Amino acid sequence: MNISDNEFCKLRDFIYSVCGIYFHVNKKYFLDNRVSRRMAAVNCKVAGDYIDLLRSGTQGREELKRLLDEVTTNETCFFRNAAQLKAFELHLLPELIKVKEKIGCRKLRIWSAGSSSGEEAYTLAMLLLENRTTLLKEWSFDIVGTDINERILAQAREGVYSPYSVRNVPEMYRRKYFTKVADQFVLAPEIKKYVTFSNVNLYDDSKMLFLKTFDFIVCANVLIYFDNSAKCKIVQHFYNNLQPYGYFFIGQAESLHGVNDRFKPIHFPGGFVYTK
Amino acid sequence: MGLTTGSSPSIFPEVLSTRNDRNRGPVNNDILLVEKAQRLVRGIATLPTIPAICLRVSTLLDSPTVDLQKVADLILSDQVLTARVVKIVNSPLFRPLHEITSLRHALVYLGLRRINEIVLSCSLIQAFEDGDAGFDLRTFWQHSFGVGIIAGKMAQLLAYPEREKVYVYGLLHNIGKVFLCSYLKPEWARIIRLVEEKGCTFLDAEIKTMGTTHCEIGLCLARQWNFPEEYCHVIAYHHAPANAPRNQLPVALVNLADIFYTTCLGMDEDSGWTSSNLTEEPAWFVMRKSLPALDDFDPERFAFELEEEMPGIRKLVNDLFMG
Repeated sequence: MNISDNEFCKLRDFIYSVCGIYFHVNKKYFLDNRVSRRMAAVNCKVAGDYIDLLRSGTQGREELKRLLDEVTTNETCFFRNAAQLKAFELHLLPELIKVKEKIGCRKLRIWSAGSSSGEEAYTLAMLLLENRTTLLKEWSFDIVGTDINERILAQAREGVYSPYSVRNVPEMYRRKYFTKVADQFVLAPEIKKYVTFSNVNLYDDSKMLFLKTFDFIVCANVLIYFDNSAKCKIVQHFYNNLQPYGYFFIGQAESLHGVNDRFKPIHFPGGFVYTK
Repeated sequence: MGLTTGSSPSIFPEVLSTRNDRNRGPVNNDILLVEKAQRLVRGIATLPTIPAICLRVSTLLDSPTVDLQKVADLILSDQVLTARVVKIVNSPLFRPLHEITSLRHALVYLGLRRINEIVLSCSLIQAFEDGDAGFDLRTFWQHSFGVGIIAGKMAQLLAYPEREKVYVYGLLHNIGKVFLCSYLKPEWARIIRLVEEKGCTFLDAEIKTMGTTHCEIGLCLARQWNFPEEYCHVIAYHHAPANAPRNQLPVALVNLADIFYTTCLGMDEDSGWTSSNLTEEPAWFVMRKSLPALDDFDPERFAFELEEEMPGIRKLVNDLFMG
């Protein structure tokens, strides 16, 4: 099946307005493919009818969830968002260090919200560790990874990954922090000790209230699973839990526009980050 | 558009007021900057010229009864211009359903308002071809086309009525820089060295090296070419829109488009890594005063859309330089 350019735009606009995820035109083939699967499943022959179905009340919302499951099955991996990581390591981290030096606080707190199997949290730990003798000399840091799924949290704590998960890891990091056992990559304990994983439902106010004073919060490709009012509530928690000089990252193709107007987007080449 | 071939048109007062832009602290001696720029521009024996054909096309298009055939005949008399106009029409920016091979078809497809902007784009490239900029020139035009297209898209989204003009403003805003790297090579090299080695901003490095900046140099060049006053405003104030004595809105649009280009798509040769909070830019405040649609503007989505445009802009500039 081929959705027309016009249908692609309609679908993209709709998905963006509901979930805040933008499908770049070079993802048209991917979207087309996943929409075709869903259309076959609901016995829908015409793309226009499928878009109408997505827009229709309760049934539409259910179908949208299924479509989102199809289009977001791209599992996480190490070093996933190059532009964001570059901004983090080379620019935002040094800026934040400067601010914290001034107030005499040499402790860094980072939260990977919706941490899944831990790749994002561990990637950040590796970047910090690499700066241990320079930028972060005499600093302590801890990284918190939270997810709602116990099975996936156990996987994160175990720290054993497939070749596919580590495909973007630069050679130097791979040699330094992974050991290859059979066809799996085992993460070094010296990285694992910096990350604590715990079970947190982002919608649970009582738990969210206790996750305080973070310098960086990353919540990539998680908010799409919540409806708008839940999203607003969760993002407000992130806002409250972030230090005044901290930074909030979301996924590469995600946007907070219309969800929270207190966070301000700071644009940089290849992406943006939010500040207070 | 009204490019003139006669004597100098009226130009706003010489004194450019105090600037306080994001790149540079306040400078209070702007009249000196303009005088210095004038001396630099006058010091060049053979200044670049806008091809006469561009001015004649502009005059023809300004007449109330435009004869498209006459415009086509005029453009056809210049083979390079003809080839470039056809290339621009077939670029991803205009996306015709089928390839357009004839100039006449291209003109009909573009419509009168856009012919002018396309012919001026091509003429500007032509004007600097005899300079000595080498590879830098392509980067500049990529930046200029990029800013022109972004400014035009913003104008459309924000319901600003003169989209075509804004595109031209974007295209023109950096002619001072194009001139600098084409005709003042030693100064250009010193500026780049200061930026790279001392970490100066580009504008500071310009002041240190020449006692003036590309804004004032561009202004003098625009006057030399008898460009309309509004063009001169954009060129002179594109780094400080809130200080423009008139026409602040189009200047602000170009300024914001420039920031978008540099921070979202960027890595320009002179800017390195930059970040910006658009809503804190002086240009944002200028625009908020008179463009209510700005409240609904979604900068995140706009950035996503710009990423999609970038390959088209690169391809267009490459095609144009292939002759």
